[in-house]
Amino acid sequence: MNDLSLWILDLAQNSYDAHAKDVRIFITEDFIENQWMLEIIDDGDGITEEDLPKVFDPFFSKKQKRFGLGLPLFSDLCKECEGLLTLKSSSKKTILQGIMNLQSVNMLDLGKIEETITALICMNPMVELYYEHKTIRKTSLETKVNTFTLDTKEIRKELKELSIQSFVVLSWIKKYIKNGIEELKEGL
Amino acid sequence: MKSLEELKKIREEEKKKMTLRDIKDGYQIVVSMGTTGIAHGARDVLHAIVDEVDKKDLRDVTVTISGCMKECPFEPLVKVIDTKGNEFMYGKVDTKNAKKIVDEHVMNHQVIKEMLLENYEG
Repeated sequence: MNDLSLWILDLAQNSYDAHAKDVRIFITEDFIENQWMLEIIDDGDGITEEDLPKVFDPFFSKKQKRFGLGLPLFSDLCKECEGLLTLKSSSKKTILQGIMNLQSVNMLDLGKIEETITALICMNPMVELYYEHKTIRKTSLETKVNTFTLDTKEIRKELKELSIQSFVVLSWIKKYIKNGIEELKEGL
Repeated sequence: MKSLEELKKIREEEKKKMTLRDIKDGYQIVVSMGTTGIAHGARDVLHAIVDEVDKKDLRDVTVTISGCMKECPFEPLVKVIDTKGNEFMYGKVDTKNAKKIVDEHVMNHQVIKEMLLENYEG
């Protein structure tokens, strides 16, 4: 997969498969520490301590244990990018955290994150999705943190009887995210 | 900066347009979105379909996503379910023929035989 947003689409689907009702995706780009961090937090069925090491094995995880092929491959990618993937799980909270070095030669572009988020909403409109993207930069005077957020709970409040899955709404969400991420990149 | 306020306007506009056609009893389009599907461009296919359905204003059509459909070599896969419940599986779909599926099969009810999965399986 050529960009990080495709990986995120694949990884986040594991939360949906585990019957999560609330999925949270956090991306932090720290240009001071040169660190890229992804966190996917969900309230789906947890992974038992016994199964936890197995989910990283591509040959022993054929979806009956919640994770498929995506997780071991993403773990490899994190390592190639001088980082690490960790997974913590309790019965009602699972935290996947991937860290990479922004300066690594293997580092990928984020790609079309707006298409990933709308695909996830399209996939299961009943699940609440929260997406937060943060950039941390140092200016001559201070440390500057910019944040973009999207919360399907807030969107639903505005939509009332209109479905979040309506094509007109999905297309608005796509533009809203694209716009927000472009502003983050400019770092203003 | 775009704001959530804009959604109110969308809601009002959609309210005016809402008709019986909004009952989702038309064709269903399912895009397979497993790891291999994504790696072969399933996300682009999904968005091509959503854009086309939106452009043609096909309000009774449903677009959904499924997990791996276990036909990895022929990803991206798109399943079309017609109003009688008949299922048609298309293989190796790209953004161009995704639009074709919407225009020819979903809108004009013409199955695109040469793109069906059974042709690839041999």
